[in-house]
Amino acid sequence: MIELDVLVQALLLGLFNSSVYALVALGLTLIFGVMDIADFAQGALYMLGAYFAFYASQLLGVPYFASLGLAALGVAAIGVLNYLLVYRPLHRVGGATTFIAALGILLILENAAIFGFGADFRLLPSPFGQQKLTLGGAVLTYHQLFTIGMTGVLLGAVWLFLRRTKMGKALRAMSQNRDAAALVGVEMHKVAIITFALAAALAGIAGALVSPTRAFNPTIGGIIILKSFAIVIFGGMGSLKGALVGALIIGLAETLVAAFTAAQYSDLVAFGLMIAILLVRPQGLFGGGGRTA
Amino acid sequence: MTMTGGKRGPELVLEGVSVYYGRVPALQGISLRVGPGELVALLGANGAGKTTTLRAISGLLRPRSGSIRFGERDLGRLSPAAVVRAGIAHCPEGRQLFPEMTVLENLEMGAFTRDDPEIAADLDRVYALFPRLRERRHQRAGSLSGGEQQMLAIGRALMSRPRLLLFDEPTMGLAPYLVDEVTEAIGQLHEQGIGVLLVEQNVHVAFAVAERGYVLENGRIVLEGPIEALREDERVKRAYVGG
Repeated sequence: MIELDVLVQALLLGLFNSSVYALVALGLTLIFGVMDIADFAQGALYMLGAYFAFYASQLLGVPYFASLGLAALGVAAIGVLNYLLVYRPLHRVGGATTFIAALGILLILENAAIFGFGADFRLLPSPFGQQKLTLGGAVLTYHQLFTIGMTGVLLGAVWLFLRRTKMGKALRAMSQNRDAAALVGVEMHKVAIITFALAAALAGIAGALVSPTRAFNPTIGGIIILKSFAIVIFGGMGSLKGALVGALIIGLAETLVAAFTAAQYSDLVAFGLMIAILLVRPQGLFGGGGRTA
Repeated sequence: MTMTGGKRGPELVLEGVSVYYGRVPALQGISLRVGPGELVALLGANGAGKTTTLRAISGLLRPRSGSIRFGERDLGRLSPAAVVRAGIAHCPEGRQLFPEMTVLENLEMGAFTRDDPEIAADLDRVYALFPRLRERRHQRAGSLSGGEQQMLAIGRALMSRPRLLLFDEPTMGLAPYLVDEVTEAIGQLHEQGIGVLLVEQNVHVAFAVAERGYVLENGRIVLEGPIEALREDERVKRAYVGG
């Protein structure tokens, strides 16, 4: 018999995990769709988001909610620099080169963070303190609820940006057909900068949102980017819908597996599902018939 | 109903244009011109360099040497976006639509470089030219039939208010009655004063609408003249075996 409390708890926690995955995977799939780059450096940007929030509130005394904005802006700037200094000069070469460069940036930023911030684990106090929501036997902290809510707001904002604004449409157009976007007058360079800024901001906010719930150190970016990449492949590279549905499925599946089998199996879920989908539907859940980005 | 605002564009002049793919020459010093409001056909076999010529004009490829001028402007160094703003629209081979966007969004993307109040009016003109696009304006472009996609590709090119249109194989893969429809639309645009450089495998289409023509062979222009003169030339017949 499945215990109801355990199930509810797993679903709530899964929703929280999915939110974090969704923010990182969305940025990853946007960059892949628009630029054809598997930007593993996004993992380091997620980590830096946590440190931005940490130092903004601990050293500068900035309120936590404002530090989210600072993390978004600061990390967006680093994301744009990555593009200008590394990806742009390399883009003509294309293919595996940009991917290896992305891994290089990830390692450089990770080690720079160890050098600058130390390797110790840190935890930011949540503005909500230890307050919890109790549903029967299941609990979720206010901070986790806030993270889920913020993710909803951010995803809505990105959706509106992509559907309603001229720049957002240019981004979708470039993701669906690069040449055609150039031929109607879309400035590739400008769209690339916006894409990197947006994706990095999402990763940075994700890191900052998680920093009061999970202890972090400079190496947390590696596993989140591997999982997010698995999610993007699962959902279909470049597909926004795929990234979101993939994040939801994999986030929930992980906590369900952890709750009903053993916690150490949960890391298998993302990669197991990725391999499974590659076997039966290599283009991913929503990939193939053109990109939705 | 005109898409040009009544203004004829400047003359397009290519002089000694060479384009390379790596070390492989695709165009070897070609020169051609399209006068204001003129309809010029660019003929030649597969691989002769027709598409390369169009892509060089619209800024997708950089010539290694030679000049491309549109009136006073030197296009050789402009980005594709700047070429569109200069008044040249490229309707590429294989339609190249945004498949996940609606018909309306595709047309709006065609007006991407514009910021004037007449976009809505131009949208109505495109719908008047191709009424089926109006019926399907909220459908995904990828769900349209081949003929409708071609109309959308032409409509999208028109939305930039071009003074010169580059067409790359606009009738490729279309049923005969659609070939006629697209040919007629190109003829109408020409009558409205838009200059056209037409690349077309279907010589019947080219002969039906063009005033002058050039024949490309292996990246070189081997023949040019009034379209009636080209029709009888052996080299044209050779370029289009069975054409």
